[in-house]
Amino acid sequence: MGGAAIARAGTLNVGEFDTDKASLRHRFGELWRYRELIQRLAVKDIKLRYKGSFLGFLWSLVNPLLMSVVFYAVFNVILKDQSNAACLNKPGLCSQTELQQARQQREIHDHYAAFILIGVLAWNFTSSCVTQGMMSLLGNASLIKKVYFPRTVLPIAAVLSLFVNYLLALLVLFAVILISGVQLTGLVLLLPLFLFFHLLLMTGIALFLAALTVFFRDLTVIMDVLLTAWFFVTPIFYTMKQVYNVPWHGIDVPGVLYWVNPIASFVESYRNILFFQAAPEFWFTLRTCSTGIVTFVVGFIFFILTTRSIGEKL
Amino acid sequence: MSFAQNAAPAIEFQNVAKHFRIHHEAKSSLQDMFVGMFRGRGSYEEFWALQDVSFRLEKGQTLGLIGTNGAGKSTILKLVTRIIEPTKGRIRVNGRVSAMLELGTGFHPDLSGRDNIFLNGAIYGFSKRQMEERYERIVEFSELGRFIDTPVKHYSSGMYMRLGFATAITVDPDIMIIDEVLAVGDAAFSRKCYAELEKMKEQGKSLLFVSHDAREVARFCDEVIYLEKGQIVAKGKPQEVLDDYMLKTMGVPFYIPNAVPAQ
Repeated sequence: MGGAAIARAGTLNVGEFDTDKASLRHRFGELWRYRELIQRLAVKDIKLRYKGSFLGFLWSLVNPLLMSVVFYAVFNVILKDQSNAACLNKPGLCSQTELQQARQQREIHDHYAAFILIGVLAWNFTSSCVTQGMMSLLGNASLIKKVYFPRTVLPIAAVLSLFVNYLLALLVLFAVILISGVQLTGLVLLLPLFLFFHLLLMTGIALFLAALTVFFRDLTVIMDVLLTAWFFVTPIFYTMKQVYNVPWHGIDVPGVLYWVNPIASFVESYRNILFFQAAPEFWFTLRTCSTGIVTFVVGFIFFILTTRSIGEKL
Repeated sequence: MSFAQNAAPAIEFQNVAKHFRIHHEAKSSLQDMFVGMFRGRGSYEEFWALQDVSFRLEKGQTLGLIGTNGAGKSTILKLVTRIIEPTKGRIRVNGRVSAMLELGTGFHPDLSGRDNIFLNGAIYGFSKRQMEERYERIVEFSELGRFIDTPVKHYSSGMYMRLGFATAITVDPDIMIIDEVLAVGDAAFSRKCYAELEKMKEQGKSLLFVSHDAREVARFCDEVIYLEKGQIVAKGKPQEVLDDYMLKTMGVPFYIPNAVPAQ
């Protein structure tokens, strides 16, 4: 009786499992039916992250708060204002672009904690997704070898739990933005859009790396180095406008940076809508968001195709 | 009844073969490593864990798998539970599978018994509501009482196992896989587990039973498959197959001291 009721409720493993029918579409549908598991695993990760610590999940808030205090101290107390003061005082003396740059520089300096926290939080989310997403299969080997469930839920749940963390940290960011006197405009409403596609991008990357790491374990070490490089080509301590825009040996440096680093586009977008109050360009935004979709699809397909024999490889 | 049996078996294997490569990890020099990077992972051995295995487990029946270590029993269980995929052949499974391969597998040591029950349920594809309906029964069966909110790392091995068994049976499987787990635990709990399995048989669930204990197999199974080196060497009524197995491995025929087990 009970069994029949469950069968109708549409949970998995009920109905035919057939090795001849394991298409990509099937896998996608399966993922949807296992959404409960994704949620449970993500909640488990969140619960366990700060387990045993005194503040518990409050660390998700305290950590960015402390970080912004550090940034404030460094850039307001230790470092000098880098903006061209002469130009700002006598606008007639310099060109229009120089004046613009000086103004932007001053704005960044005046609200440095907010400026940098936007970049740092986006980067923290990114890098933690890479490191934890990459380990999501290896770290759950004992489970994978014992029970069947769609393996895709593991990297997805890992990224989701980090995303929740990111959202909590954004609460602190808003507090810092308001305290530091940055005026928010209606552009804030675009934030969920960028967050969603950033999430999609990271999920794709996590799926890709999780699968690759099983077969190529050296990746965990290589990724340490790559993440450092990645950090420096991401505009966290600078803006893309500060990057040389004069071609270097014929290479358009900012163009290449944007091209190889999708996170740069996201950080710039976050800054435009939260800090500079500049409306994001349509095509730039479309490209940024499409990167998220494409990466997710590619990562998902790669994962499905490569993890068929994962039960033996782990 | 016979019509229903012919309609769709619980498990069907059609000419299934499983091939493994056993890698030899030794990489002596840096040069070997570089060569290995392009040629794949060093030297390896080809190994067929299963060859041309076909069988059906009809709905409501109990099938026993016997054979010495390395005969391919575990490989079959892993294929049924979809942990590995076959190299050749086709496998069809009709119904929810629950495996008691190792009790309490999905348990996370830092989570409480309660959290683990729900996490485990989700692993088997249950919704929160469905698990809430089963929760009381699991707690009751596991006899954990007030310890249900304690992290499972503080459980004794008996408590851990009871929770594992209780969770495994309450996911209402259509097909239950039992792999020599019932030998552990105290006699009282073991009896309780067997009673529960009898009940599942009466409810028309299908059981796949793996054991070294010939007496257990004889008591539970409607049919027995004897595996050797990845191939089926005998299939049929428990008494005949067990006779065959015991003669080959121990040199004596199978003998049940009290043929009808006391209830």
